Amino acid sequence: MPLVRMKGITKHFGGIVANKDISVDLIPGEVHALLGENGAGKSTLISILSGMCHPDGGEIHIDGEVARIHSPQDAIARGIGTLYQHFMLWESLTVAENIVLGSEGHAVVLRLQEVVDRINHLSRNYGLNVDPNAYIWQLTVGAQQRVELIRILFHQADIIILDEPTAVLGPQEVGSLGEILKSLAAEGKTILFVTHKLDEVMRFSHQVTVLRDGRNVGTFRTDQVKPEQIAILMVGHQVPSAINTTHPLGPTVLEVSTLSALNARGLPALKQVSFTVRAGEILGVGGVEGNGQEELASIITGLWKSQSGTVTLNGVDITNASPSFIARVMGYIPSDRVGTGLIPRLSLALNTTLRSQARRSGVDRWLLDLKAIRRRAQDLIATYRVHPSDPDLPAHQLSGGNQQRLLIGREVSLDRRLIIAAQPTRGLDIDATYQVHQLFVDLSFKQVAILVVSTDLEELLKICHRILILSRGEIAGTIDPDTTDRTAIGLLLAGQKGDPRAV
Amino acid sequence: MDVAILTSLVAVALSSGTSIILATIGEILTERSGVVNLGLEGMMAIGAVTAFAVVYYTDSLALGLLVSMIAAGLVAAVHGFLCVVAGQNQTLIGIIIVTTGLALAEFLGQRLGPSNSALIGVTTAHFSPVEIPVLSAIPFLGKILFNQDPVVYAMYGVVVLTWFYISKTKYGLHLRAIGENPRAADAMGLRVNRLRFVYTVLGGCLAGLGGAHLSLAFSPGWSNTLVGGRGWIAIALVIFSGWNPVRALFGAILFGGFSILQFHLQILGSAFPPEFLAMLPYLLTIVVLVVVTRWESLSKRVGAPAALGEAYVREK
Ligand SMILES: Nc1ncnc2c1ncn2[C@@H]1O[C@H](COP(=O)(O)OP(=O)(O)OP(=O)(O)O)[C@@H](O)[C@H]1O
Ligand SMILES: [Mg+2]
Repeated sequence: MPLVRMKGITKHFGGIVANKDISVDLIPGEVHALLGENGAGKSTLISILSGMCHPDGGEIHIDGEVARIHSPQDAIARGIGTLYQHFMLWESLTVAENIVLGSEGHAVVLRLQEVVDRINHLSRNYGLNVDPNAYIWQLTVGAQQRVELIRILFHQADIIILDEPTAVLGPQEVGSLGEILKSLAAEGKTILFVTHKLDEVMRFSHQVTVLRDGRNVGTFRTDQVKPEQIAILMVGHQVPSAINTTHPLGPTVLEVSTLSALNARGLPALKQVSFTVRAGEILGVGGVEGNGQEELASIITGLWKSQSGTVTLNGVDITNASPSFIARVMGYIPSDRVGTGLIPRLSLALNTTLRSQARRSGVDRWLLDLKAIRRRAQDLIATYRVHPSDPDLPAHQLSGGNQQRLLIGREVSLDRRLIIAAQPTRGLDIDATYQVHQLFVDLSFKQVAILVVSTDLEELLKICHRILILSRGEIAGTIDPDTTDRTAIGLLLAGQKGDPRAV
Repeated sequence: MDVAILTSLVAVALSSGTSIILATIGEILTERSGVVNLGLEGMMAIGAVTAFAVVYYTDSLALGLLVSMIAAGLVAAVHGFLCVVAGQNQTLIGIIIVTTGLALAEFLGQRLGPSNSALIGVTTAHFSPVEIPVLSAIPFLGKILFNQDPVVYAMYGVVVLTWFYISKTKYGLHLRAIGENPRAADAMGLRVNRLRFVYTVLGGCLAGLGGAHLSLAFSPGWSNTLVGGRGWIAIALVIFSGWNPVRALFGAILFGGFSILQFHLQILGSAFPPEFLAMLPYLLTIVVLVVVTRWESLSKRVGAPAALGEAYVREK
């Protein structure tokens, strides 16, 4: 007997149909996976259920009666707890304050110590490392995701909705999240979760619904369906899995030597890190998130200062150079696409100009050449298949995955010899992920040097020539994807744990 | 200068700064919720003139204070309606409210006096210092802190309570949340715009109370220049205090001190023209605060509420 029944949910945004007559039933004690390409309408459906968005048509039934959900307050009152795709956190508040907000109980004076204790308890029980007294602005995206997860547990909602909770988590954390979902389901909670990873669907869910172009194209019992079937249903064709990456490498492009730095909390983040990236090489930086990967990318791109060591690009010292200088010499795909990567309220067209001062780009004169900007943006949108394709839309109206396509397209089209990419396929559907991988490999064939920071080891193994594993700010080992066997990788990663204070 | 003169000087500085502190605290509450209210100057003037008129007719100081808060609160409600509910530009509306508020106060001052004439030059009952036994005997500080009028004592309470409210209570957490990330606050079930409206009105009430302290205690009476830019100083103080009530207190006393000092310099006679001296408190306060803030922001992250000045609308 389903607890939540969504019937015929329809939602338009202007001319775009985001949800068309979608019906989904959620059963207590079960995990229901929601799958679909970027822009398929998953987040829209979730926003409707959580009261952030009004459907044009359809009904939601909870516990057998019609639930009128007109605001998040209504949803919360119905026992719905939501983890949104884009974090709902307060940078200037502590982790504890972020988590307790909305379930403080009756006492007027906050009892933060109790909250901290409860968070520590949850964090130990569920293997989600966070420091309750840290400020959100000091945390990496992965740690912020853990805060969101702990908040869901803390608020004890009966109906739990998670929009891409695993996008920024490492393999171990994904594993523990899976355990969490299963045990919550065993307690009788009703769970809906969105992911792009088929193996997560197969491992964690009881039922799976696939959306395509805003429609429900099939709901299945997970144990009665094969991952390939789901993939084909989702994207309409088979997605290749192997990519050829062998080709000769050129001279050294990027050289990092004995680099040391502190993180936002003033603790050591990098210790004497040295490596090189050659032209045509894709170098992966992996390891458990929060071990210096973010800081490394930020230092190379001029957004964070190192304490000692050097970064040289083609023999030129660019250590701690200004971001505006760096923008002219390398492409950068940051891990937080709406914070650092894109300006949400600006149109797609203007977002594509943000880092280019090139001639004839439309932004090289006093006056913006809006025609040229739009034209170039249209090309970029078409090449990287951003949908919807109207260059005048504000960036925040795109689905998360489409924002990522726009961002990658912008940085790649800058035509730099070096690209730094942090979590480049975070939030992308399987087909788009494949496209990005293929794109990076194509670029490397053209002798572009690429540094990819990713928590997704499978991704790194697929496309990289070499992979560095960072652990507590040091290079714990180097992996050669072709020769290193899985058990050796396992050993390298095993026993490695993020320092909870260094996150 | 001997100690007695110094204490009395600081005591007057405190009294002089009280109206500013009250307005600053009000603005801190409003801005923490994400709304800028530039109309303080006008709201203080409305508070001052209505309080004075009420006391003139009723002889009730308490009623005067109450009415000043209601009158300024109503003006703030207009601001809240236009900016929070209707989503209009907060800077623009704020400036309109200053000019309109000042003009309205001036008009009321011309009409509310005896038989429809001006209030200017009229005298009424007013607050005078009440010495608090025991506490006022504390050397130096006692005479400064505990030989003041009742509104100053109320101000102490307001500062401490506001600080406690913002940093220690559940509602204070909600206040910070709606100013920092209204969308997240909405998603977590807070009624963002309702709360913003309430804090805008509350801020106005405190500004009105500040005005009433001017006309009923610090310099009893009404004149068109009574508020004299204190509303603007309060707005600057909000920023320099880093939206922190306790630090605002020190900024306000600083301003009070400088204004008393220039007053004494004028009386003692000095080489500088009085107009120049009159400018000094504003200038010096800003300079000191800039230096302090600059020095401090290097070590700490102090900043405006992230969503300050932006109307919040949930997407359809
Ligand atoms: N606020 C909005 N205004 C206009 N269009 C919107 C808005 N939100 C979403 N859309 C559009 O609705 C469609 C569905 O978006 P949605 O965010 O639900 O996709 P999604 O399945 O969550 O994709 P992703 O995997 O990339 O997160 C997209 O075409 C998107 O551009
Ligand atoms: Mg989405």
